[in-house]
Amino acid sequence: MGLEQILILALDASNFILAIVLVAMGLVIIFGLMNVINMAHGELFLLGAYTVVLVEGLGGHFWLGLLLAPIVVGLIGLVLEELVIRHVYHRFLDTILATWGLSIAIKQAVVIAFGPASHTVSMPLPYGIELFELTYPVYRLFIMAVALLVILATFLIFFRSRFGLAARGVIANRDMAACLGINTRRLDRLTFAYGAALAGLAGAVMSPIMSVDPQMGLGFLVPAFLSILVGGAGHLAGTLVGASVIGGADTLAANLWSPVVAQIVVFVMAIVVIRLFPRGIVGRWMRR
Amino acid sequence: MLSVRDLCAGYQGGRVLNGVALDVAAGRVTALLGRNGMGKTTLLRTLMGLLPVAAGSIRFDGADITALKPYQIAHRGMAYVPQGREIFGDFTVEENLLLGRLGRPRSQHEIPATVLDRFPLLAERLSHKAGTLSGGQQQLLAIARALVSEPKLLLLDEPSEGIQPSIVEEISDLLAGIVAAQGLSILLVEQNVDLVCELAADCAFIEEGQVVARHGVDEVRRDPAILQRYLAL
Repeated sequence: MGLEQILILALDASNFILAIVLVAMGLVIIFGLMNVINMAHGELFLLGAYTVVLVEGLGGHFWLGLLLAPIVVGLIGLVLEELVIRHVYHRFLDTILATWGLSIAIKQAVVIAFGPASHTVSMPLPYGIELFELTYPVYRLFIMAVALLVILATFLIFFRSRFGLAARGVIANRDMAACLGINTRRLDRLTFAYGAALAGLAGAVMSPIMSVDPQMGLGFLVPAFLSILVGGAGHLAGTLVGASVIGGADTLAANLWSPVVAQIVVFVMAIVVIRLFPRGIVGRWMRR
Repeated sequence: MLSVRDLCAGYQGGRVLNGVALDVAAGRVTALLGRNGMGKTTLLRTLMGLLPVAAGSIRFDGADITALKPYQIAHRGMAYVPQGREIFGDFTVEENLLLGRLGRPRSQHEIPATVLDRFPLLAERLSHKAGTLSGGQQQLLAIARALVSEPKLLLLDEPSEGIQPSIVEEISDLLAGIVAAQGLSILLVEQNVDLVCELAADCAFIEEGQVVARHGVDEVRRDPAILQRYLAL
């Protein structure tokens, strides 16, 4: 394998990793704040992609769809939180069942609205860029730039803003945060919507390089969950590390052998890491 | 300032408060005394809105707050220093204090200088992780975190518990100073009788979820039989 191929592989891996991080970050924030494992998160990704399909179907441009997707999915998240999630907060197992149910319902709704077949989204930046001897799609670089910006923004929001301080306070001690005057209900709502918007954005930005079909959410939900388990569920940094490990291994194995082998490699690796570091790789280095 | 009538509340397993009546006067320290398990902490948690009110009413600063949520009660000027302090150990001292300020409007985000002046020890350690402070320092932080919201009424649950005497003395002087200077009202739950006698103006005694007696602190100092009756095992 030449240097060029290694470079391409690294770029592809980064691409996948950053997309997983977008999905996983929403999951981790929602889990941290509300103790809800959102099994419907993959479907929020799906809804982001279908927002683009819908916008294009109505004659709008891809960029409009990309802009609308996080807003639309964020609003859907707001509604789901109000109608379903808030009623099951305190029953951990029920949150899994309820969100799983939501996931099935959303998938079927998409089948009814758009049909079971896959859709394609137009390639918005159909250019290549010369890297040494090979050409690399510019749009994939765009995906990485968007993901990096959003990840950076999320870190800034959670570690540098009043909202983030309040959210971290609620994660650490919900009752005490409430006693200090923080409206925990409002925070739950906003955080769920934010996590949903992240997933929606990920779905939309990935839609031109994937086949958009009702099952596409699962392909990101599973690696996102594995990333969180491997990295550690307690912190955003763990998500970055976990996604790098999972996404990197997946891309590498898929290129060297086949996607099926990649699945096996990833699962075996996840099991080994979880066995060695039950609190995740990053969790291991943190106190308690 | 605070007026509680026929208050009943408790946990799912059973009722702890059985018709509490209690008044806390403005600008004074009222101590709530009683043996363990009589409902002192439950009363504070109910006042703060953390436990639902089963019956009765709570009026605070001229308004009925019986059905309000904790954050709404905090916005009206009640602050809580729980037993065990419950500071945010992974956060810096500064972040802990800023959290205490979050209930205020956006324009008043800063930690008031008056609070930092009163807690020079914390002002020096703003960037330290709160979890690395000693127990006494954490207690000071919990009190400072409550005071940055500039409350009208402070609920204090066993501030001297597990803390070395020199810091208890410091806390006592500090609170006395704030009450005198700013007219803060305090409802103090405390086992340390010396601290109570030093700070409180009135003592209310709680037994089986009811306030059964009230005495001025002078009376309590003169007549040891009162403490004997309500506190001895």
